[in-house]
Amino acid sequence: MNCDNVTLLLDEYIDAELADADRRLVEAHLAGCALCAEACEALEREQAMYARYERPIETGDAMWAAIRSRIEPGSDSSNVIRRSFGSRRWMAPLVAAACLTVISGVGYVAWQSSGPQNEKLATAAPGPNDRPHVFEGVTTPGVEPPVATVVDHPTPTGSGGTVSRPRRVKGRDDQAPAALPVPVADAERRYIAAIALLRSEIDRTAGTDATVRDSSRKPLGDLDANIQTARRAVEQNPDDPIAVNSMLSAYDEKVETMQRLVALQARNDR
Amino acid sequence: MSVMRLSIRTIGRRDAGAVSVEEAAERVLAGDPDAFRHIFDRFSRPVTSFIFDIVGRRDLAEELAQETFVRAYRGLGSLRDGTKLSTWLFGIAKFTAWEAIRAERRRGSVGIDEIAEMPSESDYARPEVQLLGRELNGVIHEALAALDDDKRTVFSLRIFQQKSYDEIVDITGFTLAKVKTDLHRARSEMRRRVGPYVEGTV
Repeated sequence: MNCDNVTLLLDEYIDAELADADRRLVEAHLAGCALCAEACEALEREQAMYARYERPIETGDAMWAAIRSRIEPGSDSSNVIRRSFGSRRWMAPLVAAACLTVISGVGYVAWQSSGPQNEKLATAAPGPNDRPHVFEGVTTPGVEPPVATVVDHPTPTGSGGTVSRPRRVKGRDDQAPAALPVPVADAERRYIAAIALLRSEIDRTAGTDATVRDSSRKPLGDLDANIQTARRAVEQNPDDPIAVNSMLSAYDEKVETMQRLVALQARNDR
Repeated sequence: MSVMRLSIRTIGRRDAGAVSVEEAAERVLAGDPDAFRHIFDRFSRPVTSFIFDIVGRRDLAEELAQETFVRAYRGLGSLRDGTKLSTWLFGIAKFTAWEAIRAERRRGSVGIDEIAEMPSESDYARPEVQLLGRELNGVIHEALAALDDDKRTVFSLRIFQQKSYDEIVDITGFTLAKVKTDLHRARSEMRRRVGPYVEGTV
């Protein structure tokens, strides 16, 4: 193992995240290389400095008293803990927040566009038949979308068939897609419709320049991977609020990122 | 009972006898809200610190920490087998903090660097905050605020909260590759900003 290799692994080494074999190789190199050993010691000093960082926060009795008053028997919050076992009432605020983001995303595109485009956007509003699992063909190595998609099914967006429909894949056909809780699936449909709308707007403003179009897709790759990871967690644990939070949050982030791309391209056009 | 698999931690700050967080969780689920105090005592400081790192403002961090614990209380029954309570709690904290900064941005189109104002003189005048020195605390605070949301979250979880990469994946929903990349870049950015103030760092 040479200095370049060790430098790449130093973070993971001091975080104790390396597999035993790699850790031994790094240690063997550090024992014989003063430069790398010094770099490692400097990283450890840096860690020690961060460990002494103090924040001006208070978490004592006053905070507990505020929390206690909200979980007092008889209060709304204290009741929810027992109701939540089967009713999934906790989903309501999350889904409501998701709808806000979608409305803001759709409204933003409508505001950015003008003339004949507005007519097109009006027909692209999320509808009850919008299909879930629409991804944009942006994939991240090692991350497989929950359902493969094709782009051969034009939709009412009229934007060149950018909205796709699920297709069963050989070898995975025996695994029916796991059902999401109804409110979450509904929120997902709205996100997907908003994403399709934003994508068509991004592609429209990018015009025929493939470089511009591709560069707008790259930043979304990580976000797609996050969505897919979070979605799998919800499929496995549909009653877990954190899993649902993460999934909606991942969609939320993608819509916001795409809004920023639309704004950026609109500014460049002017 | 799902909480039985939680890692054992003793937290008996209020009770003379040691009470583990899983025992506390069971008592809460059995209808004893006061038992939640044990969970609060164990996690209130790290959770509020983590939220402060994300939102950068003391009043907002303390308010969001309250919200996090109330949400945790309400959702405790959904905690799954094998899920570590601390990971689950930090997941709620991350979501609550991100939700707040997005709401702030929607309302006022402000960036986190604007939200994350410097703590006041009086904040750092408190004795417990003088260990590192007012100036360096401020430099770290500002450097954190300059990171983007993803990097700030990952950096705080690893460097300040000592979470493993796998735990960070569970808390954030990011892929492992993204966690490693963001952490590496966050370290570099922090080093660039904080390094000049600290002799002997990389």
